[in-house]
Amino acid sequence: MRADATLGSDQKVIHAPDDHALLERFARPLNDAPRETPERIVIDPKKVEHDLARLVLSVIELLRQLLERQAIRRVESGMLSDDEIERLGVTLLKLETRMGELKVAFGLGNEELTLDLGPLRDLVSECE
Amino acid sequence: MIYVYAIVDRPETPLPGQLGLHDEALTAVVWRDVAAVVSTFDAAQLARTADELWRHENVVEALMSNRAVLPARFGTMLPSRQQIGDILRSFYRTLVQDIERVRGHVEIGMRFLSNIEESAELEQPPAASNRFIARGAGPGSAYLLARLARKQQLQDRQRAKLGLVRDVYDLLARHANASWLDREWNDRRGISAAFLVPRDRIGSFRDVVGEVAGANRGVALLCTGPWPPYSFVRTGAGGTDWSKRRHAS
Amino acid sequence: MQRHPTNRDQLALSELLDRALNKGVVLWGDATISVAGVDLIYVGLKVLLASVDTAERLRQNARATASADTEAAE
Repeated sequence: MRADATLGSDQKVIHAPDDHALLERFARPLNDAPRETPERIVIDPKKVEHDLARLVLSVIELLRQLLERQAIRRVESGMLSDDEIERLGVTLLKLETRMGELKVAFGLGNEELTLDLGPLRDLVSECE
Repeated sequence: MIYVYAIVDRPETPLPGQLGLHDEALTAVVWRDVAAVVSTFDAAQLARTADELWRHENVVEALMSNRAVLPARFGTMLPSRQQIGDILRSFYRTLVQDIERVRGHVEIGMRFLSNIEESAELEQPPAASNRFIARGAGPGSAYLLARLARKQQLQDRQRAKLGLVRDVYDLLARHANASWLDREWNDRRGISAAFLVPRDRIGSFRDVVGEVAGANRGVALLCTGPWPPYSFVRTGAGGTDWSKRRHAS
Repeated sequence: MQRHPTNRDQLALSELLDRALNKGVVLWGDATISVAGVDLIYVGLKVLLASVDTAERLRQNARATASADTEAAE
């Protein structure tokens, strides 16, 4: 396929781990990502309510995590008074508790509420 | 549309006989002593497949056999040759500088993953280990401070991993004329680095990679190349300015 | 696309994608241009978001450079 590559190498891999598991991890993005069409949240008419709940809760959960990260950054910045920290924390605590109740009520686990953000994944950095 | 493969020097040198995407002939749009290597292209037919990508790559690599090449991003197209010429004129100075930098060099890429599969479970952060001492902390503060402590724990882990990678990176950077390292460790893709290596030192660079790979440091590495210098061009968008990606020393 | 992930071709392709789709020269013109941002791995949204700002900055820089050149030539 690349016989006419003039940089002098037929294959581009100079070094790769021998370990199969590590190789899989290196190749992982290629496996996960290619999609011909954007991912759709499938709404099954037979369980519309459940799927809608899943969709709505997924979005709420995402927002909750983003807000929480913002709050943590502010606490870290030292710009908040103790009182503000306490109020912020109580609100977030309530939010987390409420989300927990909703998840139980709808029988949804954390895995089902994780939205695949695709390109936004990097914007919403994993390393809080 | 006019599809652009690369910006090159020596416009007077004949283009390779290679065909471009969809077997279209390669031509050049010239401004002074730089040229854009292009072919006509039916935009509706753009298919982002492995074959198309390798075809793009093969054109770029063929050009590298006898001139300095700034590879264009895959899928770069403009409606007319005129506009391409205008852009060459607008960006001329930057392009010439980049061409000088990459002439006679190739890019070699590294990716690092930590050997240990990321575990979601962290040890419980000790209650008093965070840097903020709450005076009469209520439940809200306790919650936030626990979250903060966990975040700091994650950051410490990142820093430790980065430290391991940094040693390898510094060693390899000494064998390259330019290099950069990502600032952040991405849980999925690990951390990447790129090295601009003179062609006549590719062999010794590979040897050094082999040596460091042998010394297991809790970090696994993938090394690929030689590539055209995609990562060392500045005319671009989306944060590809390589000089800004350089890891802070 | 093959599903065997540890084939060296797959690794090379993955690295090529990372380069050819995210890096390299991007040329900006005044008329509509097309960049294969919506693509195999990195869907264009992030590129677009960053690109809008950068494009404006690049254009401003380019115009500043061009007019500086014109002045210098005179």
